[in-house]
Amino acid sequence: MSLTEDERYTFSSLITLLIECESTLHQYYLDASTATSDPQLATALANFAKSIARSVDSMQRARVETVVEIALEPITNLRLSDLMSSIDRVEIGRTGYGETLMALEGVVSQLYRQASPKLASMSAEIGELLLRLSRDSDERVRELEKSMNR
Amino acid sequence: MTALSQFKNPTLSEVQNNYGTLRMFIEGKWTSSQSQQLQSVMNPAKDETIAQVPFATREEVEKAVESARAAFKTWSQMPVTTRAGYLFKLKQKLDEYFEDVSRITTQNHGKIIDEARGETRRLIENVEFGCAVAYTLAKGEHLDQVASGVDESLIREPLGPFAIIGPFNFPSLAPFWFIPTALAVGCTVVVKPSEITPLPMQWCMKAAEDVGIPPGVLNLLHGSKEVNEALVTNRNIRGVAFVGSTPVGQSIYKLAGEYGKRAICQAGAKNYMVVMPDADIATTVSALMPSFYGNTGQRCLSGSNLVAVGEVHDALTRKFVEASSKMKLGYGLDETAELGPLVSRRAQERVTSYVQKGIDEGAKLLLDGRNKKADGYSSGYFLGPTIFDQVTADMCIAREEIFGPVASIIHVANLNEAMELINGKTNYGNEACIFTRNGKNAREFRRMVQAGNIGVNIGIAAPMAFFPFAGFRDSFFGILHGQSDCVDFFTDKKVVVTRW
Repeated sequence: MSLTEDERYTFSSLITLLIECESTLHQYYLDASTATSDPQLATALANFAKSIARSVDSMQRARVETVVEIALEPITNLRLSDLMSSIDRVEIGRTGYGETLMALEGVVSQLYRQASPKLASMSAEIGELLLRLSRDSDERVRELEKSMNR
Repeated sequence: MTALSQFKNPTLSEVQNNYGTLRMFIEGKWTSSQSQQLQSVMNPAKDETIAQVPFATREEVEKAVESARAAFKTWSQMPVTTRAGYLFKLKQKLDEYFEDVSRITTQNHGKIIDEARGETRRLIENVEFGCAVAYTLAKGEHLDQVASGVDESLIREPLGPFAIIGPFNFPSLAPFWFIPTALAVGCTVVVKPSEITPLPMQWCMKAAEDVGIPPGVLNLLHGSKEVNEALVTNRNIRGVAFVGSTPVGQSIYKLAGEYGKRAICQAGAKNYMVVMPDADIATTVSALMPSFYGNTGQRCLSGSNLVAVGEVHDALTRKFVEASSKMKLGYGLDETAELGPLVSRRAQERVTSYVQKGIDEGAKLLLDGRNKKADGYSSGYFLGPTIFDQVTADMCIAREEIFGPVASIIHVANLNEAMELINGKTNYGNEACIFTRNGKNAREFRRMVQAGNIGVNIGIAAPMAFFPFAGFRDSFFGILHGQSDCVDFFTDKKVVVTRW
């Protein structure tokens, strides 16, 4: 997708983009789960990765199952490119990944919150789903904090 | 892992590149046509042939109708729960085929993938409605004691085989306005999709085959005018449901009348979008985009005339042109494309000729879609959003159905003047929409405007499966409409008066 100043999305292109972000996050969790030497933390991180994979499935289903074709209005006035580049720049190293993941989750949660009202008029279900995913992301940050501070 | 900065929405894959010579589905079997008359089926984004469609011979039409007639005997006697069971299975199978049907629709028709998915979703909603009909609306009525010791019942009985003739613009959805209800009440069907876009229905029929709908209950023919006429005039066909243009709808309605057949003919349109001075411009323009450009303007609920009332004209025009000029043309399987091609080279030429006509008539061309290209698809039948201002109601572009992404802006002083245009300057009456924040204006519009489908702050007033798809004047011929009216269309009423 070319990300120009005037960001324009279709219903599907925006959801595809969110799926891509979520898939990237999924991969970061998997990387982190193998990077840690703490077996308990590794399990927690792998579980987060699994729950993210389920979110991806939900979005894929919603993309094809819930679209209302009489309300396919152009999606504009979103400012996602900066958020997306910040996800892209991340590298998961052997240390400091906890903070990195928490920062990433913050970005993903914000992406969902911005996209949700834009998509809700075309699919109430996906609007709701994105709000839920945003809450899930916030919840993972809390869980992550607890796990890191054990 | 894909780096997001390099992330590109991929163009979705096609189900097949080529579908060969299409077969017909008669008596539960896929049958090769004996016809010598074949037509190329195109991918309009690429100007590529993707299949050959045969035009059924008279004998093949006979055979399909005979198969529907023979199947009616057992299908109509089957318990309603069994018939509904087939519809439940069909819904499930269509859900499985959802993405294939949608992508094929885009490949064959040209509409963008979101529109194709939306069409398939609405098709499935019609199957769900058919399931509901089987257990509710098909039941009939009963009243005890209408006279002393006398009871009276109304029983609905299925009529027999019906012909369903579909349009090119909603190749799978429009026939499904009728098919599920017909099957639910016990009728059998011969369906003939448009010869321009026959592929999506081919796939839906495959779903029907997979769930084992008994042979002859649902038959598929291909062809054009001659096949339509052979179907309507066939002695065993009890009625015809048609969706398409006004001239063809009129001729089918006439023919059906001549042969004593029931008919629903949903036809063309010239829809007015009225924007009041109190409308919220941003949300209005947003709603106008899918109305004027959805399906590349090829839908009978597309906006065509944009009526700016009073002082809203300048701001509305500016915003509408700005938003329209940014639309991205492309192959519908590219998820970022916002506007697909027209369905055929002929359609492209026809719509383009209307653009020239508008210029010749003296309308002011604000946005010329003829100059807009789709990157990578130079041979496709594209036309970008086109907007005329200073259009008067007497101009051809304001009166005739263009069926493309062309908007004609007409400036009027007040709501009454706008309603006079709608009621007096066009013979069509499919849809009219108003954008306003004033409830009184909206109510007045709803009550006074002669159109079957009314939108208030919505640009596509498309009835859902559980409402009739209405239409007035030259947009509709018949008494009962598609979708929820069909229970009456496919059945006759028997009244039983009983005294024991």
